[in-house]
Amino acid sequence: MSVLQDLLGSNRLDFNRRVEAARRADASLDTAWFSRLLLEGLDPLIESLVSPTLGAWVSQSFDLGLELARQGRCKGPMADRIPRLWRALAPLSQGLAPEFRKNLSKITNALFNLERWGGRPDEFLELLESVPERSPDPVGVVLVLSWLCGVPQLREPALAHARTMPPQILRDLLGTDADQGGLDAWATDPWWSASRKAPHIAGWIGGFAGDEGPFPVPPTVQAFAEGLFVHSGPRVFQLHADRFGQFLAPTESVPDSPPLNFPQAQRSGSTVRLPGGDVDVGFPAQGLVLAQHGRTVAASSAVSFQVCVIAS
Amino acid sequence: MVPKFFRKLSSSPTRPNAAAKAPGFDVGALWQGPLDSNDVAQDLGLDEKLRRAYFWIVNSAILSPHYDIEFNRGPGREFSIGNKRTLSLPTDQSYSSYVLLPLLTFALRRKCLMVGGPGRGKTASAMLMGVLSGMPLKTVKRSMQHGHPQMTVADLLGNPLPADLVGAQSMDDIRIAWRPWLDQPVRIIDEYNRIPTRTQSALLTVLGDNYAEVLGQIRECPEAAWYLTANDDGGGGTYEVIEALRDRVDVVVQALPFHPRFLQDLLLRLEENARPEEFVPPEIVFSGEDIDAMGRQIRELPVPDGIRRRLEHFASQLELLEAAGRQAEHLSKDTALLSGVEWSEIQRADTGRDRLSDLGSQSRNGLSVRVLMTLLAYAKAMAWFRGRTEVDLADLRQILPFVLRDKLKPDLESPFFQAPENLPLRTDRISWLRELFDASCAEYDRLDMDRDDAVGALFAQLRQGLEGLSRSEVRARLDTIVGAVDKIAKAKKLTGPMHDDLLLLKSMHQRYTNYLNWLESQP
Repeated sequence: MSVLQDLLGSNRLDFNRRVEAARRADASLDTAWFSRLLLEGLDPLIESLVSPTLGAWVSQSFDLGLELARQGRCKGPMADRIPRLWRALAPLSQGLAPEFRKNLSKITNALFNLERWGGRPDEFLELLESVPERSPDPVGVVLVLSWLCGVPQLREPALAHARTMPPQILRDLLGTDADQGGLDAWATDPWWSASRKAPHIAGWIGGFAGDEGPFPVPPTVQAFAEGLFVHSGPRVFQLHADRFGQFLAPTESVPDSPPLNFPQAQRSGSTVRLPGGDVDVGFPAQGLVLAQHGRTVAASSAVSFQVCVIAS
Repeated sequence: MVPKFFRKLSSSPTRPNAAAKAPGFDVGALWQGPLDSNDVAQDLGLDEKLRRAYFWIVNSAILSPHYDIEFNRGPGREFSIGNKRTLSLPTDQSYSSYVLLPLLTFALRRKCLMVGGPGRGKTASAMLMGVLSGMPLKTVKRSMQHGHPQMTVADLLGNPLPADLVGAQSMDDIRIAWRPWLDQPVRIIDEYNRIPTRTQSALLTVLGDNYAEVLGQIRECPEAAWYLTANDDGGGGTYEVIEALRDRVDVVVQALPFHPRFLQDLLLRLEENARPEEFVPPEIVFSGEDIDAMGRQIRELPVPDGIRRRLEHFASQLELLEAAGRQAEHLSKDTALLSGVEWSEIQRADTGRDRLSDLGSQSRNGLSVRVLMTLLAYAKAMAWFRGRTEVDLADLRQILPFVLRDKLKPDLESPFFQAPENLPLRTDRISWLRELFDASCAEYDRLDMDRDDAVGALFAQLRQGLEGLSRSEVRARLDTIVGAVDKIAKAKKLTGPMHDDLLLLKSMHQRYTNYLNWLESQP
């Protein structure tokens, strides 16, 4: 019998009562998924822990899982990802204490945000599963991994946190880039890589609001000292982009500072000319707008709901 | 053990636009999501905390799906339902008056009367406010005063110590055992209209002036939020509520009917043997310092001139009653009411105006200073609650009916209320007041008063002070004032705003005349 089974069994009536109350509040509660979460996610996690407060942590995790089931968060790919996440935390579990419930909640929330912000949750889980046991700070690890898996707006805090990590763990997370001055380089150049590439299209972002995208009308890009911004009708977004991903953060307005009007990037038909080479974005010349902030160039077109992000 | 979902609070910002005004990203967003990570409630703005309290009450405690305080971003959708009634779908965050008004009262430490039939949750709602203030539930229950026909002043305020009554040589020697509820931050008077008239008068001093008096002994009481409940506020209580007490109530809110679709939530409470006031999440409990700070922040919120002018215009419509007197200063409804002459008799004499379109003819009184102050305070609180940086017209428009519900008395005999399309407004005071304000604003816009306000410009000029003005400048201003009076006097019909402008011009004329007389007396 596992530790979890033992602890659940010792207070079986109370645990059953909690599930029953949740089920009465919502008859569609997915109890099968909840059982799976306990078996595949919580069981290995609890098994890895040694603490006199283990009973309290089981109770807290039980409630967290029930809350996720109650909110219907166990639909689609998340049905597999949440148990996988909890299981992946087992090697790092000692770092979750003493605020076990709080840390488990934060990390679980991060997985949801990663998906919501267009990141790569499955890659995140793969990387998390490969993190060595000696990492003492699972929350910090999750912050860095979230950035690496497509959440560029986390670059600054993730880099700040990465600097506090032991070099060996850093190397496990970032690979050889960590040894070659990557942390300092990424602070100023979001596209830095030890093997430098010529200017290239890093990705496309956006989409028509009628197709679940963010833009009600074709967007226009604009650069300010604070970064790149995108207008679409009444909506304004800040464009975050780096080597690991792109993100449009809704905002109320562009900064008060004057726009930067003279990018190094120049248009030539549908081609963007940059000091390191040309990039064909495929937009018609008419209505093509360029904006540049540092080494990031954004291109918008009057005939497209997408913004092209170029690493220069 | 209370199931966790009873304590569920919103973990994401309740008004995202209010929170994200500047470009930027907070790493804390990564940790916020479906699970409560405990960081969420920390460092919340007080407005966000109060909004979370609101949503917790609406969703978990009082279960009020009635969004009758409506806000829109751009045009909303309106549907005609039943017999020419309307239902609108607001496009911005809207609220249930029955929950929102008590909460704003809590933040402002004012007085709220909750009316409605028995069992609608008035007392439970008031008790929740007590728990939100940090009072233990037992203290809230014990502090609640239940009105009953035998309630004495001593029952309400406190008893003289029996030993002192026998042994005291003077009144000053009599000590009073004051009732503990007088010191609580939230004070609840259940069924206040069952309290005998004499005891109501004793209550008035506490409610109005924050002190209690028994046998000449005075007890100063701290500021508090007050909640009074009444099953029937239309005169159906055991005792008629004295006018002064009614006048001290700042807002009146009606407990709306329970929505039967939420019966499953009641069933769950029954089965869990849990009552909402027993499981208020600690994250939404406010300290005394919090409440002080909320009041300060609310008072600091500006009211733009254009909004204040609309309120002035509205108030001006309501006071004038030409038939009440002969001298300009006495042409008010108050003059008529104080005279003892039958209202209908005075109305018959008020000829020469279209009483159907005249907004002033819809009410039997005007707005007092206290009411206007209350209106401004609650409009500010409404804007603050919405995370705004200043009051806008929608804040004032939505809050106004709840402040005026018992203060502005409709003249149900007026032609307006006899028109078939207006019959529902005889009973629906909230809709009447909102439509009355809308009509006043429409008139304000028609007159283009934001730009065309000659009297306002003269008043602004006077407010800059008289010091240093020359005799010739004063005389020129007096001529301008006389010209303005003449222009208004030539109009065939006298309206409330015109009447107020005339009184203001007269007062300005006095100020300049006195100043000119002083200047001319100087060597």
